[in-house]
Amino acid sequence: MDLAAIIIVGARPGEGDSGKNPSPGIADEVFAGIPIALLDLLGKSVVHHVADRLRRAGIEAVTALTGEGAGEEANGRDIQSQVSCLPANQLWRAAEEALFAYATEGIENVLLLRLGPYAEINLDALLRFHTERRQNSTAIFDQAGGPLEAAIVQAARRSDASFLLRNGLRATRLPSEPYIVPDYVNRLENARDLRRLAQDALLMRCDIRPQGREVKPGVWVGEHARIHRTARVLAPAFVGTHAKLRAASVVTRCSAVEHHAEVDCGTVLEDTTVLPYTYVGAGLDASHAVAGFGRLVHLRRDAEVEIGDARLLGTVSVSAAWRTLKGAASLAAYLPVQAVRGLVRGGHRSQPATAAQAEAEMPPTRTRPANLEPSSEPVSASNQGPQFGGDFAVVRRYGNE
Amino acid sequence: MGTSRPVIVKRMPDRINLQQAREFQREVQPLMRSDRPQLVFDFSAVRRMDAAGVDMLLECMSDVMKHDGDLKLAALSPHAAVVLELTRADRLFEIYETVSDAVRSFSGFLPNAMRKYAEWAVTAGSAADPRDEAPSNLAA
Repeated sequence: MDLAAIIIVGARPGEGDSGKNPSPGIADEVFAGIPIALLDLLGKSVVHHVADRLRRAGIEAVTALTGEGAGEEANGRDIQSQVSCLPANQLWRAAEEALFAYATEGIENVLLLRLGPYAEINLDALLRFHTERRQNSTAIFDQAGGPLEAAIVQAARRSDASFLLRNGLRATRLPSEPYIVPDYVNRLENARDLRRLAQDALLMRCDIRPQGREVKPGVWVGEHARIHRTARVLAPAFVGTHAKLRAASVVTRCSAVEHHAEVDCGTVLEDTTVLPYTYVGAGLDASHAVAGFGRLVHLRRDAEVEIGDARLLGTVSVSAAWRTLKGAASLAAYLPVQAVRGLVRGGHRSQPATAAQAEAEMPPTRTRPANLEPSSEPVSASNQGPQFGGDFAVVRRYGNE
Repeated sequence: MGTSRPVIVKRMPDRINLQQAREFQREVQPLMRSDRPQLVFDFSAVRRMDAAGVDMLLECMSDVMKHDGDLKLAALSPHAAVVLELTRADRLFEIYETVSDAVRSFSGFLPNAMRKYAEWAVTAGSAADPRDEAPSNLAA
């Protein structure tokens, strides 16, 4: 396929020079100041999923442009490992230069995408539509008639390409018929859309597949994920690589625990995405939420809150060495405390040897229940055990202390 | 059935961390030790709250219960609501949308959930089967 693709992640032209939005909020395609397209979704960032999809469709040359530092902040991994990346302050100018570079290489058509919206475009159908109508550039719209900020353009038509890029891939220089995407579209405007995309992927409503092994129907687990034997993962759900689910934690209802995230003991995640390197504290109940980077977006309440308490929502260190060091330090701090507690409390709770001794030790304020008062009537031989009285058997019923 | 005992409304500080929580608890301690105290904590100003704040609320609740009183929460800010839900503490308290609702709730005989049900039953009419569309908080 004589087609290249340029993916631009971040601001529209004129909104800012870098991919990072200066005013983070629930909308505006950012979460905690990071473009949503760079956040992990079932093991890979959305931009990786899009690039992989393009490669699977036969496009070899894919260029992704992100704002400086946005990729590293998002997941601690370099986007260059999968997609050729041109970090640029001037994203749209860099996109124009990349497009002209493709033109000089002899590439005929270039697909331009801004993420932003996630759309599953059938490239064969798009290319056929574009060539059959002999258009210099074709903008791509959704079924509702909204622009998807994507277009295909003949690389040699520089003025058409420049016009498209200057207008944020929303309008073409010459009147042309737009291509309507009949398939899956998600605008990815806020955390709610990110959660919906995760749900749709886990429920196989879109082409995104979780990155991991399907250990049982509907449950995907990445490599080196550690799931405690008492933790429960109920389908559909995803646990990313190196993620940790501690004892008695529950992950259910399309929840996704991304790579290196940690869910502490007894915590329940329901319809929740835990972003990479996020620690979710013990005994919590997170539902209908996206959690990460010290923030939690509650989708039902439509509220984004910053949680400063690391016992509730913290961050796991990106550096493996630092994580190991921290783990060793916490273990070293834990063991002496337990030893001191053991010494202070004593090894075992002392138990009275006999029933009479137990009765003698009973506090004077505590009165016996009426039915446990010693009866004046003689106990029959059949009820009388060889060692214990009848009332002692009742005491034993509640345990051995 | 009414009550002659006063209902005390206490406004929570905008940030509830360990230090603020201790100070607040010290302030309300005398109120909680009175006979059958009736307290409402107003959360409308709370912008940040951490686990220490939740601990403090649980301790206050425990103190109030020891004196046969009641503690209710009102006007939860989004942050407080999210933290209380996250820590499952919201299940332990009666929570009202406004302070006046919370204050009024002390003067009624019916607990909040029952009152909601009673209101619903009046509006739905006596002919309807109450199990058909009972309010969601009564479904269980």
